[in-house]
Amino acid sequence: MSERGAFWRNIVYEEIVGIVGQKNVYCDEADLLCYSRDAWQLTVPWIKGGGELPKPDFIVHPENAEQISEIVKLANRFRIPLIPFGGGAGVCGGTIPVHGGIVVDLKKMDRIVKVDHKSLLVTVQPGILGEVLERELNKMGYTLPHYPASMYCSTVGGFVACRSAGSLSSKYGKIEDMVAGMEVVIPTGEIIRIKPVPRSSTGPDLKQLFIGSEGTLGIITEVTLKIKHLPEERRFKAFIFKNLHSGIESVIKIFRKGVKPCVIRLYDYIDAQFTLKGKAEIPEGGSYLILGFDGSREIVDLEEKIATGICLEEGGVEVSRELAEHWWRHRYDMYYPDAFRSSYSIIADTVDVAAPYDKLEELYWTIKRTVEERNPGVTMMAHFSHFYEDGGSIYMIFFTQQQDHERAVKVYNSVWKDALEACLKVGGTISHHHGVGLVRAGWMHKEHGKAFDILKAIKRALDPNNIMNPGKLGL
Amino acid sequence: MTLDPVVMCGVECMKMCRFVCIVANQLKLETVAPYGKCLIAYYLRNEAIKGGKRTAEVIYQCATCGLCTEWCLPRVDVPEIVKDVRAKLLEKDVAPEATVELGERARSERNPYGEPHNKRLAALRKGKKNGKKKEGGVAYFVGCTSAYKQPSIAKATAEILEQAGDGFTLIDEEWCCGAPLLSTGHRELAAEHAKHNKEVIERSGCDIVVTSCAGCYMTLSRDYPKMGFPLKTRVLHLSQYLWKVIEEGKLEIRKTSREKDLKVTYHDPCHLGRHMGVYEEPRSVLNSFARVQLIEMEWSKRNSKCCGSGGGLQLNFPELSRKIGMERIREATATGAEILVTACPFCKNQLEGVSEGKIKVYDLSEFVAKHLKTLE
Repeated sequence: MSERGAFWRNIVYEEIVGIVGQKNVYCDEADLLCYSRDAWQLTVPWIKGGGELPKPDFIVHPENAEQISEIVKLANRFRIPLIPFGGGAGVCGGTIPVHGGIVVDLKKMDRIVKVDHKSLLVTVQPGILGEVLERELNKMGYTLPHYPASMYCSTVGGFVACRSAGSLSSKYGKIEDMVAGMEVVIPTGEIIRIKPVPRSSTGPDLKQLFIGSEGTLGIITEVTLKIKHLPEERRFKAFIFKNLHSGIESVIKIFRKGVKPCVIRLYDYIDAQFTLKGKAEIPEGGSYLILGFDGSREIVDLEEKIATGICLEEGGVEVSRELAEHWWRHRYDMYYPDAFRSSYSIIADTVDVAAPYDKLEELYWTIKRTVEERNPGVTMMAHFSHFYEDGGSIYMIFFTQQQDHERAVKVYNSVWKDALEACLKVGGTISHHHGVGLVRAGWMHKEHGKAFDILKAIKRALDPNNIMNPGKLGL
Repeated sequence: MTLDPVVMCGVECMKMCRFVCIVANQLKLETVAPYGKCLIAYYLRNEAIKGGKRTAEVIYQCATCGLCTEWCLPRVDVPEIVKDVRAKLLEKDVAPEATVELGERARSERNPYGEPHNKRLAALRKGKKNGKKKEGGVAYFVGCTSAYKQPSIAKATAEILEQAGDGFTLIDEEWCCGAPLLSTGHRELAAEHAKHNKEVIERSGCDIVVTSCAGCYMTLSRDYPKMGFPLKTRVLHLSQYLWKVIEEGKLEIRKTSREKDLKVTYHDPCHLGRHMGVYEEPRSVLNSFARVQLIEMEWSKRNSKCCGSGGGLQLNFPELSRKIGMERIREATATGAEILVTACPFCKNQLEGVSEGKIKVYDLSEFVAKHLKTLE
């Protein structure tokens, strides 16, 4: 839109002001710059190297779904891209306004609308920050057992739009398992509601169409989530294994026994060394497993006993549970900038992939070997951060120190290409919970094959003018 | 390797402190969050943006409360970054009008309110010898807010100082400590005030200078040395002095077996708590009163939420400041307390102004002076 010039901009500005009021529209350089990025790691060397990022034309702060509906209709008339924005904490470039347009910041819509104590459901507006919601629920004795690393800075709308996962996913699932209902402003401006019901047999689940749609199919304006009572007890255990395989085998056997730990994190040798920082010895090639159990004391006791027995049978060595408790207390620490990553041209990122158990180890080794062989100087380490009955996700972390930012960007792109290619070759999915945004946009057709045409057809049907977050999700 | 805090916060961070930022929580805007301010600071430093009135508005929308730093693992000092940028914006002539006027008032009357300088200590001097020059003893640095806006605090402090020790002296020609000047970017003017105050305090010959104001305490003891004007005199905040004299038995609070029937909550002033680490003394003073049941707010001590008046926020953005203050009042009333005590005239002024009668607000000096005789 920017090339249309000041005259056009003035007309659009006046119309937006007519909808949300002047106090809710921003178009100064300072504001536009702060909305030109999210937490995508590629933007770090890019900015440090003096590169420019695409800026939006306007930022609007709607206060209700009706205002959003009007903005969507306006965007259709003028063919202006709309970029829904929560906390801007995504790591895939999902809110970068590559075509300019209007950023719709939802943080003024941050109320807890209703708590249904009988059904254990909470209805919230999308702009509420995860940590704020959790604290409010805790005051009532409840929890949304969803603790993503971005908890302090991401919103519920962002959780849902990106299919996020939290540290307790092995027991409570990802956000898509917690959404009971929602309200969405679809790309034509209509407001639709998907009512919260426990189960339904009325055709495909439309909630799942909007969950993970990353703003390409509409703007989520309300979400009803399943909540739990705060657990009576949460307890942790930690084990060291001689290799990765024994750790994974233990996890599979734990699930087969019907035990559902709330936390299962298995670190490979390099990541374990970073995590343990010398507080426990780990044999070369070994792995480090953290288990968490929560619920009533009797269940926690039993689950802990069974899981411990399995880990010991698999050759695991139990280490102090304090190590695991330390991880829990400091679980967000690695998401802060640190001296290591802040030095001149180090770049690091995470590639979150997933596969069923029959491919899980192969997925890990193929990505690690492919990336390290093809990209000298790059180290890849991992922890398996989310496990389920049928498989798990791998949080592949790479870092590299390069001579300058330009080189860092080049290596970054190369690593991503090699990692995703390797993932697809093995049969894994290219994202478990970070989403697609821009970093995986070009890979969606390979991920889904012919099935991607269905998603494209849905996009065309719902958003014929392609105004909703264009370019994201490969759409 | 030198780390760059502006880059760490503005470019590299995932915005981990955003949920505690009192301004971002009101305005709900990325630009005003610590991350946004540091990103702007980065672009300004690299001359990638010019920085006009809106940039200045954003940079001044910060109470410099430092709660973000408490939630920052690498402890990026965002308030210091903000103050640096403000000084530059002031030079560029884009700072908010109210900030420019603050400088003018301080230059002419040596206080941020523009009140007549010759009235500063007038009320306290009544019945008291001017500028007693005896060696040693305690001097009372009254501060601008106690002198002009909250005279009951000055009066209460004077009463306590008289009762607790061997009396006190006032500082002849006391000027504003410079805290509001430093926080809004008037660095040269602040240095002028620091130089002057150092001279008059040291000339008074006192051993200890006591401040009512948390901002005065922070500025005299922490900022003057940084500015090249370290005081030879020991500086104590009234809460520290009170606890000292209570422990020494110089200020007696009678013991009683009565029930704890007075519910009190305490608001940590940012300048006293987070910036200077004084958390326990005011609480110990309050707990000395047998009937006081001290109830902590959800956000207290290191995590205390700001009252919203500091860092030039009340001056430049009164409505925003007011909303932040009301939020703190809501938190205070949620404790069930009937009294909110703070230890800073500036905080008291703000909290009392927005309390709408929902809770009684006292400065620690007022609470102690009022209850010393009536409340065991």
